[in-house]
Amino acid sequence: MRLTIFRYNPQVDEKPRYESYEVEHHPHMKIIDALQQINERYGANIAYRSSCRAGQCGSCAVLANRKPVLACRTDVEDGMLLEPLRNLPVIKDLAVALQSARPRIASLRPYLHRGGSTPGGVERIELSRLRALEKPKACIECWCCMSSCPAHTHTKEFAGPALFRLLSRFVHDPRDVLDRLGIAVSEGLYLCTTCGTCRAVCPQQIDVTEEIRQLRHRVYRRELMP
Amino acid sequence: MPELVDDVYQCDVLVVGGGGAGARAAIEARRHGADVLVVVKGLFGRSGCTVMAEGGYNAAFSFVDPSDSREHHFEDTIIGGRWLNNQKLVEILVEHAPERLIELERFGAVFDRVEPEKYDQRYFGGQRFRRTVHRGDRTGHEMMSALKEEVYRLGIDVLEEVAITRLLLADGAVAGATGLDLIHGRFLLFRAKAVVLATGGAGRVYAITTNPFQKTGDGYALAYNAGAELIDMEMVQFHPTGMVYPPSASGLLVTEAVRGEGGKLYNALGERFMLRYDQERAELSTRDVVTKAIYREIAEGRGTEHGGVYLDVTHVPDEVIEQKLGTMLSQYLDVGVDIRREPMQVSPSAHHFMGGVRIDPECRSSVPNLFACGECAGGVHGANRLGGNSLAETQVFGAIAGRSAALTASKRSHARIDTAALEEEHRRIYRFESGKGELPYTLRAELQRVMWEKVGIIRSRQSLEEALRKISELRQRVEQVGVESGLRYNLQLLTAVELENMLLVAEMIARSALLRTESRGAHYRSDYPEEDPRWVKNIVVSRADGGMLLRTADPVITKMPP
Repeated sequence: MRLTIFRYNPQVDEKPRYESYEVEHHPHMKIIDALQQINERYGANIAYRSSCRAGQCGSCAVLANRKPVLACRTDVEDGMLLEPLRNLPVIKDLAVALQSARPRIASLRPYLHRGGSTPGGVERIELSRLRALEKPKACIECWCCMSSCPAHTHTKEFAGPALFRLLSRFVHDPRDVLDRLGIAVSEGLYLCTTCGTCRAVCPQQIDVTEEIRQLRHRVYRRELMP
Repeated sequence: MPELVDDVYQCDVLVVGGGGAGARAAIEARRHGADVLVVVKGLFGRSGCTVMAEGGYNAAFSFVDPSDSREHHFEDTIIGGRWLNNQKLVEILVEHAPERLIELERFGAVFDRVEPEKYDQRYFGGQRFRRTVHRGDRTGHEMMSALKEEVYRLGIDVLEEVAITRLLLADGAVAGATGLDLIHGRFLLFRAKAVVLATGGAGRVYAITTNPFQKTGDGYALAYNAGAELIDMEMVQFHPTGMVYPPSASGLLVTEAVRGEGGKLYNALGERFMLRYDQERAELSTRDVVTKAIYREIAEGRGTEHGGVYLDVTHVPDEVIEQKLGTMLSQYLDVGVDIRREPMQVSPSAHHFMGGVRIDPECRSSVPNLFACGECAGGVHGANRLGGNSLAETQVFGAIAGRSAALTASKRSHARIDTAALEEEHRRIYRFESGKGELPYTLRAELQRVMWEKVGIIRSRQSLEEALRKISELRQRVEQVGVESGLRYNLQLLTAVELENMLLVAEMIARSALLRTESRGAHYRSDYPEEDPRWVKNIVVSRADGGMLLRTADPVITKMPP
């Protein structure tokens, strides 16, 4: 089987190029296995990230045939084209500068803001609230949604699905008292086209589109619309 | 600073590693007023084992089983560890585990509950009571998210994709470290008043492992090269249930929660074989017992077509599987198996290092200014770790190491850095760029294979000596390793640097295993198949002129003699 891979080292290359490699296939071979095999057999030294191999760390997302996927959970196919995620600078080959998103995440104040003092023992949390937190907290920050969101691609005024997912995680948390809705509006809540691409590519099946719809509903109820 | 240093970082406390223990250490050091820098070889909170930890966190809250207690947690841990544990450290573990878990919720985590103010707790192997607090089967991810949020709150600096390669000493005390910046290939100098090692284990020295790619034992090598003592390095836990098929999934963890939620093990003949090995605890026996049982079933020809045994949850209601074992469900669906309808095939996989840097109750190593916590440290688990005890360990000892390091740092100033040591380290790293020799991957694969076959679940004098010969051969061949010379994101160069650490750790394991002429916990010698009461001893490894020095020491026993 043959794979074509985006190669680019911004330090030395004027522009990216595509290279094809022959891969010895085995059943349910994942993209990560193919990359490892290519590096070990041909000394190709393709830059890519991976850690857990189990879809839990979110390090290894790439574009496979233009669609963002986790390389550790996606089967390779003959003729597959592998490219780095969009909307982030390329460090080299398939590794993008995930770190560059950090300042904007930090600006969302991504930690609990409690009102008053915290209780001494185990905190009271209703079981229904626990359930509501499940999906928004399942995010592995793989950036698949950020790479494919048309609104975020068009304008960085829209912070992107992953960041709204983060805000939503706090909105669902009964312990958080910060006005996250104001932040959501200023981060471009109304620039989302609700196209559902983020939901379609999320390896954790988080319905970010629905999270955004709910955020808008809360904004509407509190009359915070821009 | 010498020209060869591309950048210098200065901090009070340098935390090496960004998993559960490292993050917790950083938080505690910051709370004690230290200027903290966390350096991670991969991505923060994603390249360690915590984020992928599934089953849970042991803390004797007694919410589900009212008769549980900290004393019972202590006893289970010592019995599970076959009396090699440092009992002082275990006392600290069971005493602090509940409080540290509650604190994770203060940071932002939530754990499953049976009532609004009571956590749900599940059975785990080797424990007489339901003690393991969890969040479905993604407990570690929940913890790591909360720790990351707290790190953001405190504004702690995190440097990602930098491998710390050497600890620098001044007058026998740690004064800083050197680092290789993967993104730019730069050579970095870190000046620190105290260093916390929280690099996790070294599952990657084995061909089949549950561990992420980054777990190459860097912290063990760093500590050893700095002159610190390590303990119990022969005690490597092979998790009973890793995936066996397809090859790409080989070794991936199948959480103990599967058995905790009622999963049963069967051989190819359909026998529930665990009843033969441990009638009372069966599937929920300790990991060392279940691993050896599975190994034996397979070795004696009662394995499945892919060389495993069956792990079955088809009798468990679908909604319990979906709710409590969702990660397992999708992990198997990815390879075409629906665990609600058909059994999983599993076999053992290298999982956890009970051994590590020898620490005292303040997480101090034997080298001044050097601290260790989490899987990088040794002594808590003895000869076999109970599932659920290591997530607790990351938080309990992470916090202690962070506090100790901050207090140490507050009492001293930065020491002078020895330029000669810097130059030597620079030469060591970049020497790989000069040659056109073998790729480091070839050597790595050979090492992983020999470790799996000769220093794995079953060991003998002969197999261990063969492994040591192979390790020594590989060490010669490392000098001929050649990597591509480009500096940016050069995985070949990183692998070569890691390989030297892996060889060192492999030698520690094999030498310690050779010295221990008995079987105990995770360490099984076919030529000494019985536990020997004279071997209630720890093996301590350290660096000496002319090679590796091994000695035995009596375990710290506080209240439960063998």
